[in-house]
Amino acid sequence: MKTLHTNYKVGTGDITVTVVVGNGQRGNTLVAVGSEELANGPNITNLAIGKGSDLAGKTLTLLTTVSQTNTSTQNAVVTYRLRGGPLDRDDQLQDDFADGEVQIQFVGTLDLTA
Amino acid sequence: MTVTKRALAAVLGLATPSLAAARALQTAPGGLEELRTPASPAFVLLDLTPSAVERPTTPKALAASLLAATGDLQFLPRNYAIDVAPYWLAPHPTLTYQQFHNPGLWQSIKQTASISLATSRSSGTGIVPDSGTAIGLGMRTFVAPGHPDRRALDSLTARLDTIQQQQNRAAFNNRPQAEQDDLREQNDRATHALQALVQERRGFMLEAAAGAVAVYRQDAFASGTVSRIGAWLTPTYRLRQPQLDVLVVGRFIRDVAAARSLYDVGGRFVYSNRGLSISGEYVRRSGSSAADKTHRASGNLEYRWAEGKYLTATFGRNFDNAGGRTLIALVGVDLGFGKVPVLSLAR
Repeated sequence: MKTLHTNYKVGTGDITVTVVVGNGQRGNTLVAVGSEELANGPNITNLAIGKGSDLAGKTLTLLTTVSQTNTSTQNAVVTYRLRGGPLDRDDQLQDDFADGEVQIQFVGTLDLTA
Repeated sequence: MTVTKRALAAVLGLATPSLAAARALQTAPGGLEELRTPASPAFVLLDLTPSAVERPTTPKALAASLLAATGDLQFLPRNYAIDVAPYWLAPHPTLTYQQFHNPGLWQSIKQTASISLATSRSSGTGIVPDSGTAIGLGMRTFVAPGHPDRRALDSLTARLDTIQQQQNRAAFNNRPQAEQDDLREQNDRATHALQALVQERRGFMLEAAAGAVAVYRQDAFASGTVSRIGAWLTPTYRLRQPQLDVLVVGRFIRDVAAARSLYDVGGRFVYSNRGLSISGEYVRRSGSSAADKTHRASGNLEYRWAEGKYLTATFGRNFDNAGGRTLIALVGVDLGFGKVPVLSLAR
């Protein structure tokens, strides 16, 4: 499991999340704010997760399971994009499939701050 | 450990006395299979079958391999073979699953390209007449990669999606480890099934390769000359129902030292139905001189009556050669002994 723990400063407008699973691999991502699941699927593009003013102080969880469907590479890479705050934010997580393993879980935890 | 034994029932004519040649998908030497686009053009042009080929998949592994082979860049590597897919040495964060499976022309060329490099001392190849080193460099790619069974791909992808979503939910809700392990196993099975499916391409495929060999006599850099160049083009069309493969091969080889060029153009079909496989092939060869003009034509029939057990027959005409033995006539039985483990030791 590859993890990322960081924070994201929100404003008052809508916050959106995009998740891109690269290297031609297949991945599904669960998006949750606090304990509430907002989405769980392969295409997370500009998903509105709420207004910044409502999100401040909460935790955004991005949990992605990636399978090695492309054997040309041993590498998996996931990009988390947050928009809507004062600054855009892109975070990238990378890992290699271990010998004999064909799946990796990535977990991004972002503390949303005012 | 498995042992493969084959029984040859009868061999009529000895133009190509190879049992493997009696297979519909493994034609006789000189046939289309030999002329197809090679996986590693550098090795073919050097007449090499390396026992160990380095296949680094990361820049670090590539650097380590090159440094080890050259003594930290102190000398030319000797008897060294490497095959690299350059596109996959770096991550591609924006290459999605959909783009990977539906690549455009340029994306297909990039994601299927491989570069082969091999070096050989004179003792290992007929290319170097005296002491020295021969270096082969080649590239191969799929201009059109074909595609896997789209319905099966969509179905397996949907299955994998469901499993991954369940895994996400189980991890997020801290479900019992046994439940998460069960989902992991389901994911493993679905992923392996997808990996296998993706390897089985169908539709139109166009494979291209090219390479060259340089010879350095007495290991002197100034003496380096291009000794041989080659190019291959293999368009193939594969149907699932009926199970039919049609392929065309084109090959050009230029032996610079001998001032000789060879052009091979041919075609082949393979039809398979319920264990029966019928194939036919024709290759036209031309070259620098009239003596190089020749052709090869053969038909092959194969019947599989049980797993690993084949009856095969091949008849035809091989390329003209000095011995004048151009008849191909083979009947064979492959009993496939040893396809199952001869001995199994359980712990």
